[in-house]
Amino acid sequence: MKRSGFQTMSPYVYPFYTMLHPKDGFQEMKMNHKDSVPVTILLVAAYIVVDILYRIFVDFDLNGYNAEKVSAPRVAVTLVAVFFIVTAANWCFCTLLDGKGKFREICYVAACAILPMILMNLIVIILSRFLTIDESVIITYPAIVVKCWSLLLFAVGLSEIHDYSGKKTVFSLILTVVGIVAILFLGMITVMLFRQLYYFIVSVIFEIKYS
Amino acid sequence: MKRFIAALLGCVILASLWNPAVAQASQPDRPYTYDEENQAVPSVNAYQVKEIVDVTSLGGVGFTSAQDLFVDAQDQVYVLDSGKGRVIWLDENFDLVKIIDTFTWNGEALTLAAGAKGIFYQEATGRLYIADTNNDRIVICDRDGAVLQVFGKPESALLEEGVDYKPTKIIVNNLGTMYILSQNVNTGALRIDKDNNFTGFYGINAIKETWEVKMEFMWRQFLTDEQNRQSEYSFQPTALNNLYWSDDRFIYAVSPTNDTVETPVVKLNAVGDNVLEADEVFFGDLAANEVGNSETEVVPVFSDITADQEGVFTVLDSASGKLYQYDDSCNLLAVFGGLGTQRGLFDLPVAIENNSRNEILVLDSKKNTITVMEQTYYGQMIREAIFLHNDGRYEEALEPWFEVLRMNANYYIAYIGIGKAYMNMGDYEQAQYYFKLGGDEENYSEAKAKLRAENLKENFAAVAAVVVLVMIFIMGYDGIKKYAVLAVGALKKRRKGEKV
Repeated sequence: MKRSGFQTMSPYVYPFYTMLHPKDGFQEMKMNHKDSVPVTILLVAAYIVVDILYRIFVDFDLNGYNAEKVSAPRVAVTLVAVFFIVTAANWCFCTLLDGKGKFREICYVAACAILPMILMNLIVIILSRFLTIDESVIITYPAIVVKCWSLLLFAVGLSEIHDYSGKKTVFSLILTVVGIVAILFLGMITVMLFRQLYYFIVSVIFEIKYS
Repeated sequence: MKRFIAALLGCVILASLWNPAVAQASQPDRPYTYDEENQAVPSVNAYQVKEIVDVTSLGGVGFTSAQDLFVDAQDQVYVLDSGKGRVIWLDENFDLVKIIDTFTWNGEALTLAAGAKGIFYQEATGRLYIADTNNDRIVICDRDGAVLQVFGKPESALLEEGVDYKPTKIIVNNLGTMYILSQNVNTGALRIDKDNNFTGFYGINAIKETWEVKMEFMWRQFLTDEQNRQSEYSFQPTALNNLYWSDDRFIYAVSPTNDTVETPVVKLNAVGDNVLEADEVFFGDLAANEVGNSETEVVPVFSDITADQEGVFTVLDSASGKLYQYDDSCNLLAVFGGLGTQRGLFDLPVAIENNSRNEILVLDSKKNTITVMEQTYYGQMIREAIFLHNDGRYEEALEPWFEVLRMNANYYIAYIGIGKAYMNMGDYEQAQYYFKLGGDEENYSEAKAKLRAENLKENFAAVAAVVVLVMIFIMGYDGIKKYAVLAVGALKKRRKGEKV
């Protein structure tokens, strides 16, 4: 088969093509195994960096005092955790539902879906320096549109890599949300358990020390 | 390598637990104020004890459970000594003038029942109004104890038969119309004219419009009138605790804080509407935020209020024993007092008044003293700055604002005041800086817009050039050329047409 156009694109430019042509892009990715771990990591890292910049550099009137409260490691850990919880939840359910996607493909799709939000956040950072509160709709409404676009990219990508119909994709997305809740719940229980263990040990130490 | 990565990951996770916005702990009874995000922050004392008037030392006339006091325009003080049924009259230096303990009415002696709760003195007529609570009447006398009138429960169909008339607080306007609070009446103050005719209720406490209230209201639309009459409303207005007749002819009223009260502090005009702009404003303490006392839940019970000519009002929260002072835009100026046995703290504060020297008199019913609080230098500066600021004289307010900030950098209203001054002077960059410090997003935005317009005007050529360059970048040189050629061609044709 003759390969041309987007099919011969560099893997680092490929997500930009996918962003605008999700159906073709993700199909090609699935068929020719174009998912690349470096690109996934790069996109997630870019999102973390842009998110931190967003929190710091969006002007005070549209941002409040967030700039002074931002803690970069905390943002990074939170975002990575969210990324892995979402992808893991999707992987858990889609393997059960005859999904053909691998975990690294799910991660790649999720990372590609983030790309519009990265670009939008950059635009917002720049525009916020010039816009007042009254004019802020110029950036807030497109931001909502971009979030929907990202969600759509994620859904289309998943349907391609798992080889799902539209209905099944929606169903799997709902199950993914359920999975996220379950993971968070289990995580919370674990944290509470370890905290109790910690306090138990501390109190035992105090008992020995002061009795 | 793996170990290194694990250590790095561990460091990152540990670092993520560090939160820069740590609440600071500090000792109790330290002055504090609230910042722009409603967090309690340390402050400076705006009031200090000037003297404690212990009436026992004034010729052996101690109060027993005094309930109310009143200060007239000459700063003379009238204390209602409820336990002994008498009025103690002090002059402006808190020296004893007279004890009014014998009341005569039509040649007969009249005694006040123990537990009288309200006193008011009207200077124009020289009349002393006493709410003789347990005798269900209002006693009007002069300062010699000669009783002029005694008013019992007014006759009116609106005042239900079964309800007792127990007047607790009274204020009187210039026409002699009395506004009386009565125990167990939650429909506002009783407005009674000078001949003891009931003319209506005044200043009923608004019920907060929560969704439960709206649901009940909606539900009642489907009931018949008969059913509506039979079932009681589950949301009743809260009874007012106290009234204050201010010199600018507004009536201030306070009530306890609870779930159904719209706002516990109101300033009412002649028809009973609240004129305070109190949205997004809270009165008293935010329970969990008080410095050094973050665990205890404090629900303010406002029991008295006093105000001065500039519209600065002070409310007394009898639950915490604290006094809160606000300007007429409800900005918090000062918090002081509290419960305790030290000087400047109170055991059972029941009434407050202010006098023309901006001193606050606090009557303590258990200590049986009047604590006179005077403004500190810091308090004076805040007062001066706020006064100029509310008057729109921002530039003049600049100096006192900086003085306030020198003493207390936590006072956010000062930053906003300075920002407004710079904005008026046209220094938008400074204005932006100070609005940011004061947490005022809207004014910051306004300053930004003005700065933007100014920059645009100054650098118009550069901006236009950038726009043209962007157009060339988008349309390409050829595209521009095409339009240019077309335009020039059209121009030439028109010229030729004109010549022919």
